[in-house]
Amino acid sequence: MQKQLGVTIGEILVLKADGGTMTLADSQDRPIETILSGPAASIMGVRALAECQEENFVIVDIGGTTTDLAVVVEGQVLFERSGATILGYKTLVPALLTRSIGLGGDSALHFCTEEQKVIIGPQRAGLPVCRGGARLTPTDAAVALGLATIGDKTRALAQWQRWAKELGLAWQELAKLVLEAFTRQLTEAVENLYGELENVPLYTISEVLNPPQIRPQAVVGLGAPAGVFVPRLAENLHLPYEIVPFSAGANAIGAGAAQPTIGVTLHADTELGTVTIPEMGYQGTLERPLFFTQEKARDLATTKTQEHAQAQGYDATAQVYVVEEEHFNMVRGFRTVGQTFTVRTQLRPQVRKIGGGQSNEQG
Amino acid sequence: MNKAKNQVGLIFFPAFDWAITPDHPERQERLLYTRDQIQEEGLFDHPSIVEYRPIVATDEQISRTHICVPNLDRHVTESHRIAAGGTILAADLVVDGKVDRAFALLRPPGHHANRVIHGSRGFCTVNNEAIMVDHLRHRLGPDLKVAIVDTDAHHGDGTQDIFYNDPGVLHISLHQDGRTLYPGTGFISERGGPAAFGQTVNIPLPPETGDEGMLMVMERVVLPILQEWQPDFVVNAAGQDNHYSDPLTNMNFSAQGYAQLTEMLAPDIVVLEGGYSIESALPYINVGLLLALAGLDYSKVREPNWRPDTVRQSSALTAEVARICDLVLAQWKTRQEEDLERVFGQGDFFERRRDIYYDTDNIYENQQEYIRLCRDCPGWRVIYTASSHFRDPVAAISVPWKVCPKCLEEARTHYAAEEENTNFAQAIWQQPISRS
Repeated sequence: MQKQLGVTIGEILVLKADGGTMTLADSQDRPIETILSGPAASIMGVRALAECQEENFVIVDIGGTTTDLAVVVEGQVLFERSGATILGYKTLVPALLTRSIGLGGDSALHFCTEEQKVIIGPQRAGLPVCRGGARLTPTDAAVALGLATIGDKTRALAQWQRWAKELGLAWQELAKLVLEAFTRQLTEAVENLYGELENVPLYTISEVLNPPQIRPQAVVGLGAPAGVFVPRLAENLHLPYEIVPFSAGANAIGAGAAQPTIGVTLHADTELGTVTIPEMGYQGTLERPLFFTQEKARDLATTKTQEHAQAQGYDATAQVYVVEEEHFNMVRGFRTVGQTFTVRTQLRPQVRKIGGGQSNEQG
Repeated sequence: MNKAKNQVGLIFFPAFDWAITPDHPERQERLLYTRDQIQEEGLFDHPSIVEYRPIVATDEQISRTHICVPNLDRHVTESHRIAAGGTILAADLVVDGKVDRAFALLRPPGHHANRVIHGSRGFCTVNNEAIMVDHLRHRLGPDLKVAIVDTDAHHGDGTQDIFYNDPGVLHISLHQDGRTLYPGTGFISERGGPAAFGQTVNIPLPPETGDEGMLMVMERVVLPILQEWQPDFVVNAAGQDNHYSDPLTNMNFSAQGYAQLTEMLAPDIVVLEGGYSIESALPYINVGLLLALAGLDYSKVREPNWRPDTVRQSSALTAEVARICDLVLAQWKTRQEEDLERVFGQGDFFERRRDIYYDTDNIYENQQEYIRLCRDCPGWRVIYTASSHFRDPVAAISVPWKVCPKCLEEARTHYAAEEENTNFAQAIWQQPISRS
């Protein structure tokens, strides 16, 4: 066993959409859990590298083609409520909540003459001109204005001048319009995401009156163009920001730093007096069904998760947390005859903290 | 995925932490099975059905409709504010064009709540539909015409009370005959006040009326009246206690019947009222209703225990429903020919004296109401009210939407006088004002 960057080599682990990893053998049993590991890797990269101490923040991963957004509330990355959605189909696969928008360093630019403004994406333009491409991109705007040093600046400048002349503008003005458009569209996407999350239905009076406070207190950025656009986004949102170190490769670091997770789903029915955990093939009986409560269901699920983790060779000392829980009164003939409980628990997806010297920060 | 005709906004608020008492029909679990059914049938995942989080109604919004004795906070809890707020949101979603139709699937209900509130009646404290209608007029102007079609098994007496003399509202209530069920009102002879005569339409149906009878009423009475009156918005106060399995009523409607009714009525806004068969009726009725609202195929929605022969209505009953339809329609057609002086008298005021029982809270209210008979507007009114809970009488002066200057002046003078009058514990002023 050789150790490097605190990551154990010698065993192949596969990253899941929830930011945890599983063994290669487990991934063969449940291959669907390997979807959406890309966005999960970026988020775990932030958890491994960022120094942000705020309870709530937004993660902005700006790539070439898309920008992915994720949300941290009370120190925890938000999960999708009913699992990942792929092409409009809900999968029930536990996944970190991410929203992808067609806005990146290589996005196509459109100039709207009527409104004298630039619209970016969602298509990709191809390689930036500074790197030998044919069409100007947001990256070219950053390069031309001296905000980034990538590729051939002269080549980009020449193209900006050509396009600006056609439109009857100064090239600097046009390039600035591109940066403004990028920042505007990115700000809108962040606002939309929080708007959507704040409209998640709530079913109890106490929640409607005291909705969870989710608004970000900081912006954490990663991805190659983050250095140019994240400070501008943060200014629009009136928030402090941080660009994670090794920003361009943070997602690879995240994949490497992620730790294994495993979980169980407990179903209890007080009318039948039964408890089942499908993952473990466990079937038990409730000794005193009338006295079974949500807390007891949670405790039992936690204990069983640790047992299961131990049996499967995972780190059973890791913190167990409740992914989701539901409690249902069974009514027959207008009488409450029993209750059903469903609790899903798992080992909290963790990362090894890199750089900051702390280890095993919760992810 | 099958494409829907209409985009439907769903404000689902089961209030899982609120009940009148734990074993009361109006309790936490009331919409639990409904949620599961909607979820399991995949309706939450359908692109044409979008869920919204309710908002909390303000004092101002509630006071536009209600007069609370002695004050609002005494009766109106957070659960009521959220139910009323969710209903307001349903209307706003439609007005703002965010959805084509909206369904406020929430509790607690509201249609037994009168204008004056001394407590809760028929499980209702504030009237969700009425607060919503007044909100719409506040937003869009007092000329708005709103039709409320109340399909709860119980007479929508609270809504009728609030809009009895309101020319901007048409209130149609289909219900089990008041001689056989709470609240014991809703007869054909209750037709509205002097300024809105004929616009209160009651259709009392015999016990055991089934889908056939209900749809007959829709086709022969409700749709022709709506067609003639041409409302800007149609609201369905969608009680679900006409169902054959409901524990509190004696009707024989089914989930299919409700879905067909919804398709025929094509309401802009639907608001849940009663319905207490929480495992056998509500899950299926609401799935059918949502599908019908969206314009999707609902023909396969059936209760597992539905047997056509046990709920089929007799031919004698069908004949009786047909007779009621003819009576109500004939009354509607001749509403403008009635001699109002003969109905309401010749004086300056139309007087109503009532004893109102609040069954949920066991309160008796005694109320006298005087409505000014005015040629130019619906007329201002004064309500004197006292109850077994608040024995000191209260005087409430309420002016209508589109009040004429003369009535407004008279009302103000009267209010000033009642404020000085020590016979009354307090004088309350109510005046709805439009923003547009």
